Amino acid sequence: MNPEKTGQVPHPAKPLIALVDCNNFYASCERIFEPALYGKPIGVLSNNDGCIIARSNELKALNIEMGAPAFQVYPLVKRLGITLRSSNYALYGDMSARVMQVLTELSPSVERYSIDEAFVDLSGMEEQSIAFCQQLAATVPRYTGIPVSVGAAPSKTLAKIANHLAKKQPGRNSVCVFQEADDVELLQWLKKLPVEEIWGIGKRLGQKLRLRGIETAMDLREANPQQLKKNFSVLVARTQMELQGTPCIHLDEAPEPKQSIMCSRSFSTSTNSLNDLKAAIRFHCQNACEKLRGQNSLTQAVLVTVRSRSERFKGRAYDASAIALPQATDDTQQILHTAQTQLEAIYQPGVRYHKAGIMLLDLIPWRPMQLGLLESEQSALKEKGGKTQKLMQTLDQLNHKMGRHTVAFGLPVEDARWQMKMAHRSPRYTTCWSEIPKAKAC
Amino acid sequence: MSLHSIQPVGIAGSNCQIPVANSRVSAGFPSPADDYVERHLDLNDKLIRHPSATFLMKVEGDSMINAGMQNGDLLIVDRAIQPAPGKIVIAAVNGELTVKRLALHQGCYWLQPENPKYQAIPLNESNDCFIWGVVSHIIHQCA
Repeated sequence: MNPEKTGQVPHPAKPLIALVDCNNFYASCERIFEPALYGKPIGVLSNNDGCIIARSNELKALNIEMGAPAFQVYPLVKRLGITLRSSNYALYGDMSARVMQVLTELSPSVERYSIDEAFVDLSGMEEQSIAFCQQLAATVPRYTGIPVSVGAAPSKTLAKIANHLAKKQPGRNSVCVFQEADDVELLQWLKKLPVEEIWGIGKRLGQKLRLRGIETAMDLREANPQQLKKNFSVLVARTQMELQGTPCIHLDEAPEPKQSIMCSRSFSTSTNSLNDLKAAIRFHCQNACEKLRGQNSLTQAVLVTVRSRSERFKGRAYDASAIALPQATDDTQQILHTAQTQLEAIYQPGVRYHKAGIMLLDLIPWRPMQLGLLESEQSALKEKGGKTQKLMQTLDQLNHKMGRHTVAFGLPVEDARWQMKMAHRSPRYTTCWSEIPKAKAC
Repeated sequence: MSLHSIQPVGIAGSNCQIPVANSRVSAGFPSPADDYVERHLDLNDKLIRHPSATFLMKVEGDSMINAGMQNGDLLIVDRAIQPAPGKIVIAAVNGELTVKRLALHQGCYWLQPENPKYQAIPLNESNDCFIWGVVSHIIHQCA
């Protein structure tokens, strides 16, 4: 049956999905208002300046690993010309919102995936897709100062791989488009790509696949689907289809981006009520915190996002700001409180919103290292479900009933403020009046 | 009806609202004018063409005094505007953000101050120069 002959079945748009990924996002944010940092090694530290959580290419080249404790890097700072920065979530959140905004202005269909990644639907664009990807890769840095890489392919999993090539292969100029899933170059790369590096597969699943002789992305693509279904979860079967070029991972089901959790949903009807938004944030926040505790992680920053199609909201579709928590936590109440405060700050009366959500950023594994003001090593070393946890629960309940800070940790110690250490934070250039950049006229 | 304070520009919410009419009624008849209050003049609409590409900066120094730019003035910088000779630009020079007028002289680009006390800077690779953005507005506080 030829659909063209009958004229009844419309030709479906050929799927093509681009992943836009900011290059070394945190380090790039640090450079925008400090051009002296271009070409220099930059490391961004976790809350309380504990360890390296983001690196510029120059720092990677010095073999300083992700997660390296700050005290190990400090002695090298002078000799190697390294700049270390405390994390500046106000700046990163605002820059992220700007990047997403530029993408939404250029393209009708953008799905934010993490603080520094978004999927853009290019289906049906055919030949123009390459020029369009080049336009994305040029406009985002021109508007925001953040360099990006763009990889496009028929499915999200393949787009992720194309993006990797856009970033790493010299001569690609940050853009890599595979219109077809059986592109010769793509197939060659799939043969080289270790199975655990595929989006959503990871180390543990990778080991299991290797036991069955599936070692590369190509092996998985060509594996017997019945065998796969028998031995593995539906995720593996879907990943196989994605590798073959059939898009079947929707964003809601997409694997969690590294080190962050996102919960958001569109409303059935748009709303301009702050109470409705608060309820939505409360709902998503509780879900996100459950996920957080479920994977035994703590979060270090919270980002609230709302969206609206309203005229008054135009150009501001991604109203967002990220707030660093005083301490890495999995405490729903603390996270919720931060989220509600943020929501109140970005809410505009009279605007009808159609989507609200929350993102937990820079997750770290729960381990007995995050010391509170009064916690000693021993108490922190106790089991997670132990006395500390119970105390926290009781405390939370009391505070909840009787108002915040009714009961709190603290001894009358000089300068002992419930505040995180951030000795090297750059100014909040874009979100704080007293910290806006200076333009030298002298 | 409330008069919101001006918030950091950009995409962080358009909160700079100046009510067209405003009346406070504690009891009795509501003001008939209230029926017509629905629109606000939003300075962001007027001053910011490309929210995602717009940044605020503060002037430090007097090298642009003849362009009406005084020490401490607020600059609205739009990275989406194409730099061109004659435009006031923010340029990165030797690792610092500098405000100057872009000039084209005998086939070369220069960063031209607007104060005879200062010298023009050639725009070339040797001093790591690049144009960061174009100044779209100068805001001067006078009261």
